[in-house]
Amino acid sequence: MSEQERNAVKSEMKSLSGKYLTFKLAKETYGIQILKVQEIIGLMSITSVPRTPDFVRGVINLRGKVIPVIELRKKFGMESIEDTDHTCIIVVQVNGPKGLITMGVLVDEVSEVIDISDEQLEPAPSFGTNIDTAFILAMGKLADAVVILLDIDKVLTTSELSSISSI
Amino acid sequence: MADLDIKSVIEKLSEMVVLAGPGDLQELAQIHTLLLEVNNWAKENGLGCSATVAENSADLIEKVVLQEVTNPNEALEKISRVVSGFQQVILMNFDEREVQYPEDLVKNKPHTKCAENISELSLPSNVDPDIFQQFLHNQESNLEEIEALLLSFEGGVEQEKVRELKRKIHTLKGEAGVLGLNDVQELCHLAEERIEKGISSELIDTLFALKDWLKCKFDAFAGKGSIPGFPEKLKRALALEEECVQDKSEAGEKKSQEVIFKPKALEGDLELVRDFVHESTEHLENCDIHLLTLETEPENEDSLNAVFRAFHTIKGVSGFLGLEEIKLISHEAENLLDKARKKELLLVGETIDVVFEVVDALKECINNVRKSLATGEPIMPLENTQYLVEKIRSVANKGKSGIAIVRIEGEPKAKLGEILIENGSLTEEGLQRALEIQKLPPQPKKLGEILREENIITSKKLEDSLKLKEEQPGKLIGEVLVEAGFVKEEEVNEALKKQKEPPESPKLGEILVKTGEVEAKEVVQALRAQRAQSLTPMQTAGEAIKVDANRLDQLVDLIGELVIAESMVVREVELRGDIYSELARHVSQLDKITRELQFMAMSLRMIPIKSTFQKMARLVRDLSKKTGKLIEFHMSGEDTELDKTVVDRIGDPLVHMIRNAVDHGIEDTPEERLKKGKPPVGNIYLRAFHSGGNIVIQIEDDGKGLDREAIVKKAIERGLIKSEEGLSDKEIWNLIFEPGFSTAKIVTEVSGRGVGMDVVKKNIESLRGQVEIHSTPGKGTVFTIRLPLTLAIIDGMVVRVGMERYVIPTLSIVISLKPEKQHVHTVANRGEVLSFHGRLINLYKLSNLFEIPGAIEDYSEGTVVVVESGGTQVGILVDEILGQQQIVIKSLGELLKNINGIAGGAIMPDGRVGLILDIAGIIKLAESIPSHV
Repeated sequence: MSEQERNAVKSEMKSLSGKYLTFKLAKETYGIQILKVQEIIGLMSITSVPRTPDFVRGVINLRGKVIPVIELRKKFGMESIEDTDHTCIIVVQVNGPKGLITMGVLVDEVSEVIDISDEQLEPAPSFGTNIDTAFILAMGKLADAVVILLDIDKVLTTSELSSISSI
Repeated sequence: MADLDIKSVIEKLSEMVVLAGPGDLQELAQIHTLLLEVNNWAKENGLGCSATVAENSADLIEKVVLQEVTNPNEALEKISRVVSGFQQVILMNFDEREVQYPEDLVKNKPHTKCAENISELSLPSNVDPDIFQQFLHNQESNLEEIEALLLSFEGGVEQEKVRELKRKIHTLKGEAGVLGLNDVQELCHLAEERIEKGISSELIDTLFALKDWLKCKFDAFAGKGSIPGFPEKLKRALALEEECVQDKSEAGEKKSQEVIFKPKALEGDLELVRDFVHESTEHLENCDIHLLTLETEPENEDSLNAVFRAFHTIKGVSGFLGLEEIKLISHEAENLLDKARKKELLLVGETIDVVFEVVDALKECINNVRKSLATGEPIMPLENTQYLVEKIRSVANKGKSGIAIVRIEGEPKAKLGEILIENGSLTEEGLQRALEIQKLPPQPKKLGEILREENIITSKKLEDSLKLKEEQPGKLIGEVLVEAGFVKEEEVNEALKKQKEPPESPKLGEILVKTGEVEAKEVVQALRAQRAQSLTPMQTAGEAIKVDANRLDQLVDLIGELVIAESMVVREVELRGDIYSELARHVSQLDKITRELQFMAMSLRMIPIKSTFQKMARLVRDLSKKTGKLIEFHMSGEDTELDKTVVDRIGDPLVHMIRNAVDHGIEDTPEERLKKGKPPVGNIYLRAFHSGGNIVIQIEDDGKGLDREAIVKKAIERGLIKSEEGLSDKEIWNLIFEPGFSTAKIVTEVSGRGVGMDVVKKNIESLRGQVEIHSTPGKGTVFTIRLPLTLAIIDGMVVRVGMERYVIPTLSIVISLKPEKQHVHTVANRGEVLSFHGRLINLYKLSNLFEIPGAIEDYSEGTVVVVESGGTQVGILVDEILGQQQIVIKSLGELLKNINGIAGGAIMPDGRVGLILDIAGIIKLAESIPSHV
């Protein structure tokens, strides 16, 4: 890696440092930039919507607004589990093609809000062309674990957003 | 662009220029496009001069289209010279410098115009932008009110309204002056002066144009559209008319010197003159009553004939007696009435006013004759005979120009008697007396009376005949009259027929005129005032505050939430069972308040549909002017309140439908209508009313009706259907909503309808409404639009399928039933049909379409809901119906908005989201998925 590239990475990591909300999915810990998070709500009854991809769990009533809920386990190709007492919905605002979209993300358990400095950040590893890591912002190295920081805008890529719409 | 292309462009251009006239908008538009193409090509090929000429020519065409050119033919002539120049340059490769282009088109276009526009937009620096914004805000409603006033003039001018209009324009002028809008100020000033000189139908047209221009201008300031140029034409129209009027009056003076009537001594048999005076007075009194009828029913033939006969008789006798002045006036009036009888003219507004003036003038003349009889002095002529004659002629010459009368149906807001008393024309006692008479049961009229009222015989002749009858007992009065040669046999028969008709209770106005309480003219004024009152906006509306629409929506949302939260609390209390506790009482109080709050929230967004209806009245007026058709436009229910979004968005579909009704619905000529036994004036009705939880808007015309054959032919041609076999009228009519129908222009001219009807339907469906057509060939067409009360709430039926609940809009449900096994038939083991009311309808399982596990699969166990969309009925199998309720519709958001079969979400009373089915989508879905039986 050249000096120039290293500097570029460094400044990128610097821009990514800040507060993250971490949550658990199976055994892994993930983080979402706190500014993207609107609120965290407990599990409520979700109305499933027919003829949508399986990672779309359905819709909920968020104080009079109907928002879709994405099951992140299914999205990441993990095995789906029964909902537990810890199961939560993180309400996030993502950039859609036509402005901000509010949606819920169903996760196993919400952990905490942590401050991650640029020294703790590493660029996303590449696993070869088979595995798309575009939705990973960076990896955060904590004392006891590694946090996968998600680019939540890209978790649901534009093509997927429109594919839901066209079903 | 290739050379080949430019050659064909030039050839086409030369052809079109020869054929096009100043009025052929389409051709001119094409020429415009072609010229721009030439401009592009010339620029690319370095022919700078030709490019400029082409560009300038295109501008010139634009001006011709906008009618800004004084001599359009000359302009077209110029263009054709330009085109022949192009032919030389482009086709024959002449040097463009040698070609003679019209000089003024060679020059580069002065670009100062744009700069002017910009400076117009920027306001004088000392104007407070807030004040200006306020001004713009106010103008929106102000202009609407001006339009309403103008529309009310169409049926007759009422002085109070004229003053109001003048006030409004005057205020606008003042405000525009303060804000530095000099052009607005100038035009308003001209308009004000013109109004002061009296309202004519040309002026009304000009004022409409002025209002349109002002609207354009103010919209541009508000950031909508571009600034319109200074309307030179409008200014000329406002100023020119002024000169015209002066010209006319000057000309009138000159002529009147020629035909002035000198005082004249009576000559001939004075007995005859006395009879004439007596008869004519009687005739003229009858005229008043009949004119009154004509004011409300312009086509009443009996009244028209009666008035005509009166003038005819007066003319004949006065000519015989040498009363030239009376003869002249009654002759002109007779001509006018004759035109009206031939349906070349409609007795409304200005025209009927003239007839009243004639009656008054004749009364005065005859009065003068009477005086002369008594005193033996010469008869004094009237002062303004010539002016009156000119006026009659000018009205009569207007001839067949299209007229639209706007009528608001329903109970008038003020009573006729009240208006008359307010005007001081009538006393309380007079009104009471008239009302007493009105209450009396109507007596059958005597034959003689009928004949006299129709101006067929005079009372003197009637008396003579009665005397004759006494001499010949056993004879009927009719026979006596015929024998004496006073009347023709047909006339007696006609009168006898009328006698047999049940007499109507006379109208208040007629009684008042007959008893001499009020003059007929005053009654007419009052009738107009009554009509105008319902047309112009209510002045007494409460104080209003403008609120940001988003905040309002938020409030409505929050209240919706509150209602849901509240109902959850109520249920909790009920579940606990202590319904007699303090808590329960408080909760029930809370319940009441929330319901009221919800009701208020819903009404916040409701506005009357009046503004949209008014636009339609204007549209009909403009269209009837353009097409030359006579149309009476009836509106009712314009106070019906709808959601603001609906009121805004229903405008476009209505415009389409009204335009169709005028263009294609109403027959082209009054003669055509008469041939079919219809009144010559076409009727278009626009109604709004509540019906079964929906708002219904109806557009009805009494024109040709839809042409089934033409529609079928076109539909087969377009491949929409294979044959008309088995298709009901309704299904055929619905074909005009198919997208394919609107594209070809010739098609619609044949079929009579279909201009953009697919767009109409789409718009209405996007408002979750439905549209239906009823048409009877030769009788007319009715379009019925059903709209939900608000956009936010629908009536829905909640059904369960497996573990899921769905809401079906009640509007689309035909019936729900538990089918017997023998009524469900399998077709080729692929799908199922249900025999229902003698028809077969397709059955679908919702569980199948939506892949819902654990639902009932057997039709005889579940419930079939028969739904309809776009004329197609299908049955949908659900497990059970849970109930019916009002539901607040929510969008599922950007992400899930286009799911087939789902129209949106609804917050159910338990706080969960329920999905609302989109029936049209379900039918489409069902047709696309193969069903697994």
